[in-house]
Amino acid sequence: MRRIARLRKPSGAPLASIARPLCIQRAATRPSPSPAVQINTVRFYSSRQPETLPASLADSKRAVPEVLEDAVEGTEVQEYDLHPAEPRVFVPPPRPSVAERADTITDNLYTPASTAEGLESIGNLGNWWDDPEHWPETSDFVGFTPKQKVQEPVLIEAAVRRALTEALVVKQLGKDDQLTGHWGMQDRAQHDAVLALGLKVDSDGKATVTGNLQSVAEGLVAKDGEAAVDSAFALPSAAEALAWKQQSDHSWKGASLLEARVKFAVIKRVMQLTGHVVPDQKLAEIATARGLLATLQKPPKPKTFSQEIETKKQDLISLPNVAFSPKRVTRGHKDMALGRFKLIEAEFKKRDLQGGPLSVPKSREMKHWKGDA
Amino acid sequence: MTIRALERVSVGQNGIGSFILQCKRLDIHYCDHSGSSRGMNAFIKTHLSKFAQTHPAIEFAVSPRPRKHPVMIGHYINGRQKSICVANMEPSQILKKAELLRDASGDKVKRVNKPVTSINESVRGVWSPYHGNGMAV
Amino acid sequence: MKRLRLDRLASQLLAAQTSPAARLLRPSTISRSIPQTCRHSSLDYNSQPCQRRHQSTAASPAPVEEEDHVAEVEDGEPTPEDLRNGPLPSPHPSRAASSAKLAALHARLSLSSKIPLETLARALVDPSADAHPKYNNANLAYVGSTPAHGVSSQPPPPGEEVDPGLLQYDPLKPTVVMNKWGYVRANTFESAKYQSGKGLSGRVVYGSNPFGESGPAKSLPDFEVENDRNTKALYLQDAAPNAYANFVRAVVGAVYMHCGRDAAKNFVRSHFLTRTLDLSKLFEFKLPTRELARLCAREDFEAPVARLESETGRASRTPVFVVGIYSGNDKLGEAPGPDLDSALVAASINALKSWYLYSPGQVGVPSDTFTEDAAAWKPAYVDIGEIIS
Repeated sequence: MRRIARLRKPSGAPLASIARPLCIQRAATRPSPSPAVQINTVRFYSSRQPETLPASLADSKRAVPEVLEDAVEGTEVQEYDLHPAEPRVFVPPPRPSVAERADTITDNLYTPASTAEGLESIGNLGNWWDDPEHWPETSDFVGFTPKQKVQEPVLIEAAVRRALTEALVVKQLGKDDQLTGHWGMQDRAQHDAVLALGLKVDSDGKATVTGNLQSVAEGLVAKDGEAAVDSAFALPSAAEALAWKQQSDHSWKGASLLEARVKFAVIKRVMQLTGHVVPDQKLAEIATARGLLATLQKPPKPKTFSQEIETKKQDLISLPNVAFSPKRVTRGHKDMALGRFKLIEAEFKKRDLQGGPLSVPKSREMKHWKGDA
Repeated sequence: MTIRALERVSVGQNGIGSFILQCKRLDIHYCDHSGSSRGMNAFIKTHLSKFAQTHPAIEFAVSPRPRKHPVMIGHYINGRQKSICVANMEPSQILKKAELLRDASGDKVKRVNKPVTSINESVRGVWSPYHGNGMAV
Repeated sequence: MKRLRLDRLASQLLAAQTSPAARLLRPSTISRSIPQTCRHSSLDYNSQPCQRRHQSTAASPAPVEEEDHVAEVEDGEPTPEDLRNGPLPSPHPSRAASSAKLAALHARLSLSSKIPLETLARALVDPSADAHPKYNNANLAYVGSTPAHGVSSQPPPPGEEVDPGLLQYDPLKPTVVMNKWGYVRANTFESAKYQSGKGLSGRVVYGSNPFGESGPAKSLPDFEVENDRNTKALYLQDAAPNAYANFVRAVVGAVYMHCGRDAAKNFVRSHFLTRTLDLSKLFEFKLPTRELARLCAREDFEAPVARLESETGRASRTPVFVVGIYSGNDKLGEAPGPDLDSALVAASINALKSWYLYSPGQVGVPSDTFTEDAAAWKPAYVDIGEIIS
């Protein structure tokens, strides 16, 4: 089965960046280039360029306007080496070429072919997707949320506190448009600095931040091209977060989240820091930071009944006369408990039967699901 | 040598001296997803820990059996087993079935039509026609 | 006769919580490589005094290696892979706590909580499965040596991965035959070859069991078994019943060691002595009439006379004769039979049984004298014995 493209270009938003004019040559080989580029759409993709396109697939007809090509020829410097660390942009396959219609051909000598023999096949991608060159690791989608959700309640609490503080700082400094902007992940020092800011909440839930607001706000704005998720950023350990929690008082949890922009900023930031997405139906009922914490800190629901027993029914599992197995107990397990398995295995080995005693052919359906013939 | 000793095995009478529960193991199988296991899953959640606690002499082996009806299998000291399918049953009904398996001896079900069965000899003895004064016909 | 000093013999058995490090020390490969005769001497390297008489004090490479292992443990934390080559012959004692089977067995036998699961797990390891005396039930079974019948278990092939709640023995390996009640001489190959075992006295001397029976094994091949008292080979006819019996003895031994003598007596009484055994069905007579005549002569009774008490259907297909045996005016026995001869034989057997199978009532046992200020033990009267031999 042919793999399909894992991500689509946002429609009308081309991937090339006008900020990098030296890349025009690449951009030119891509379809429908447009000068209007939003940086924020770029950052969701790794921005490294592919090295070369297969010549056979480069659409020469719709290629570069001649003027542009000339301009490029003048700058023969291989500019990619200048940005080696820059991640490559994902490159979709080229547009398929289309044959000219017979009725539009003006050449008098043209005669339509009567058989398919000897004709060039056009219009498909061939095995473009099968080339591992077109699936570079770096071109994988980099999302806004981290791949692994943070599950420790203490870390979630620290993240909510940080998000709330940052949102309030931006608000207090009057930079309301930044509330919906892109914030960088920053480093541990910044994380600690934000948590060190004072947060006072009055009886109405109105919160004010005290401390060096300016420096926090400056560090907050993401630089151009900065990825939403920075692997270099390390969360504090659970023990560190616990120490922080014990020092701080809990009055900040009463901070109101009724203002829509602040609430959006906080939830967006928490999502970026922890990977937790607050479901839409819960959004309306969250009025304070405490409510947001309660939504986030709920342990994930067990997927199966077996998992539920394992996690919640310790009183049953811990009984000495109860043997619980979360997986099916097979013939092989019984043989192992009785000590027969090693004998059977030895006999299989003696007869040079490769599969072993537990080898059962996989179901035909499994093959179909995987798309095999 | 006129006397020879014969080897015999003594007969145990459960409950005289010591009582040993005949049910030694109870396999409890459920399915994570199927609807017929809903009652069984609730039984495991609500009743089983108490039932297992009150019967430490029975080994409870709880394990899933995907895409199958829930079933309870009792294993007995005499080597036999007794299994009950508890598909679509309520937890209270399943508890009754578990008690049934616990109380069973593992033997085949026999018809009992005598009030008392005993391996001891009758205290009064068996009437003999050859003793006493006989009966005038 | 010296009294057996069980407390000294079994002091090591009380250390039920065998430390895993000590477990790892066991040279499982060594025990296979050393010769049979010096097995005990090379493996009993523990600090506890061992009561077993060593068969051989021949130098073996094992002690040197043991020291190496000990040094390794003291230096740092060795991983299991460092210390052992290959799987253990029986489950590790630490797995006992997690076995549901074992916990259920413990509860089913109504054992005291003083007896740890590890001890019960050890009682389930037959010497044929694990030759190491610190990990099998030989010593426990020796402490609890008593006639018994198995309760429950399954016979798996032994190994490390086996559930510790199952009886572990190997039918193809030698095991230890416990001494049963009464004196039984170990039957050697030589004596089995040359003596035919005729006569009760001869069988008492040469018989391999209290019933005077000896002979070739029925189904399994014979195995040579090492025994402390008799270095010559013993017959081991059935490994399975022997393993079951060893387990039961080991449980009694464990009860004795952890809960004391009274608990052990209670355990034996409630589990074994309450079983029903009809003693009158344990005999087979060949010449009962002759025996009865000799008995009467010895006891100075009048010679026994058989009298026909009642009969019916003499000319029919199913006649019944009731024959009584009298000595003077005393009736010794009576039995019905389909003809005169068999009725006479049955009556004689009844007379003999009623003479021999008297019960002296409740008599004390020697262990009653173990309590404080107990009266001196007075043995019950045992009659003279057989008349014809």
